[in-house]
Amino acid sequence: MKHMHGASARALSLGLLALGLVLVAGCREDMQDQPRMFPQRGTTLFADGRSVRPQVDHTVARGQLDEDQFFYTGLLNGKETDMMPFPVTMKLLERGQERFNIYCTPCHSRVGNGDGMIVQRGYKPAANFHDAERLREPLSHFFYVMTNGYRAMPNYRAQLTPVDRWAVAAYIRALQLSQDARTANVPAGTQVEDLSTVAEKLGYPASFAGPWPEPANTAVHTHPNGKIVAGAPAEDANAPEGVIGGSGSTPSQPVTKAPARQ
Amino acid sequence: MAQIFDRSSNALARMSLVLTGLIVIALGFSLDELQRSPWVTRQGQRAEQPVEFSHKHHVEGLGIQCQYCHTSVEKSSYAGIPPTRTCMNCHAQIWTDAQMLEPVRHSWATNQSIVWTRVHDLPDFVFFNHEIHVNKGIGCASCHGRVDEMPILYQQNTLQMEWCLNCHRNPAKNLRPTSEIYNMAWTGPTDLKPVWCAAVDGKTGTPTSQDVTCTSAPPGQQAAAEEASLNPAFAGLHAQAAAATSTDASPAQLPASLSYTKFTSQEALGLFLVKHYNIRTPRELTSCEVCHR
Repeated sequence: MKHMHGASARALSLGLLALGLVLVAGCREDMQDQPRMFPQRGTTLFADGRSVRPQVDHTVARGQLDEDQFFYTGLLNGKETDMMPFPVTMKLLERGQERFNIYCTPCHSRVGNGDGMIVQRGYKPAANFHDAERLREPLSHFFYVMTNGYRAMPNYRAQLTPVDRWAVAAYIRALQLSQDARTANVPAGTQVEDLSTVAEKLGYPASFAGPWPEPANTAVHTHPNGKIVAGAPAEDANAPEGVIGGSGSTPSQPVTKAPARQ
Repeated sequence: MAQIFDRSSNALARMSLVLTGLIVIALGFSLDELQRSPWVTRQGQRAEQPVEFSHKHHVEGLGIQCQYCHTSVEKSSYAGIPPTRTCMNCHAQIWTDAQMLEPVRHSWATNQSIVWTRVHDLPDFVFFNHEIHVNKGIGCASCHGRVDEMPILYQQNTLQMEWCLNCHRNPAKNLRPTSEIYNMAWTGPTDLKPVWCAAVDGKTGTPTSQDVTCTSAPPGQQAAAEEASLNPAFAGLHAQAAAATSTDASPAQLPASLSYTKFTSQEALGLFLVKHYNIRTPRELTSCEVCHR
């Protein structure tokens, strides 16, 4: 009997061990969470806890020389200029449209009238690309604003590469042209219908074809105190107010130059 | 001395053998179920976050696109948690005294990162890459679900190897045109909602997803409308008058008319996209080194 007892005890302990192994196998360890650095995971190695390191001050990394001044700053001899640093293609415009719809529409709206959703929710009114002031701006002004911000607008340098910024600038110009078309712009032989006629045909209200409402007096319903967070992009004292460049003083000949590596 | 076990114990002994077998099988089944259960996969769990960020409010309510915050999704392995600065783009002026946003303002003021809890956490031995997926026709919602309808983000799918392989064995069933990647409501073509696609022959050897054009509107009418409204030969607003007179709508620069194919089912569209997006074969896609190094 004693022998039997020992055998069943051993079987029991073996069984428990097997069960334990099966359960332990479900634990997530070592291989699952390796002590390497991952983007944005954080680390204990550096005091600020960031595994992605900021660039060391006063250093220039490969590909950061930005020697082409106009391409990287939008300024030619310190002035905004009405030209592109490389030729505009349909593909570039499409890219510009895509990027515009991602990064600019929250405030400027898809048609560029400055009545985007964020403005409707109480942000300072954004520029209407179709007002006289903006129509006068040289093309690289838009590049400059995207690069450096403008009044309440933060810069979008981190979100948009230089090529993308130029693409968006070109698309903004296309938007302006689309809203400022003249009969002379219509290719010969193309039938053009009045927008009010189209609206009437489609059953839209009479105001459909009228001018857009100006977003000047936005309903400030999520902005109860008008306070701006200290140090916010909007209050950056160093933010440039835009360079008043030679508006249209330079001939609008696109300078032929291949876009730099993205 | 009488026997300790009566003859009837024999039946008990046999039953217990059977029972042991059943218990082992049941244990196997329940462990199998357990490792697929949300308890292990964390499916559907709403993690505690420093800020109760609502994707629903920002995406569905405000119409902000995915890439506004997740800027690196198209060009790197990870989609990217936005820096505090992205929050401040709007919240410098909107909801400036909301208690909910206190951690954001603190982060902005002290330059310390907000420590978010990761919701979609793959094991470190899996080398998942967002870039290749969004550029080859896998939409956000295919893996992440309807994020635009999630007030608090959660993991929609198991993210287990089994789940990855389900698609890698037959990617066609989930492929969509690259123009629809960020469309959370995309459901694939049907008889009532067909999709037309055309492939442009790019440079030989380098056909990419860029060379496929898809539209949900009958392409005949659209092409005409586009040709009427697009004049690629403009140089600048101030050159407008000159351009209008000298180069009047140069038709040579317009893309040659494409031959569109109509698709009414996901299978057909998927096969077309597999071909033109150069998706590798299931045999290659299910090879270990595709996800493990």
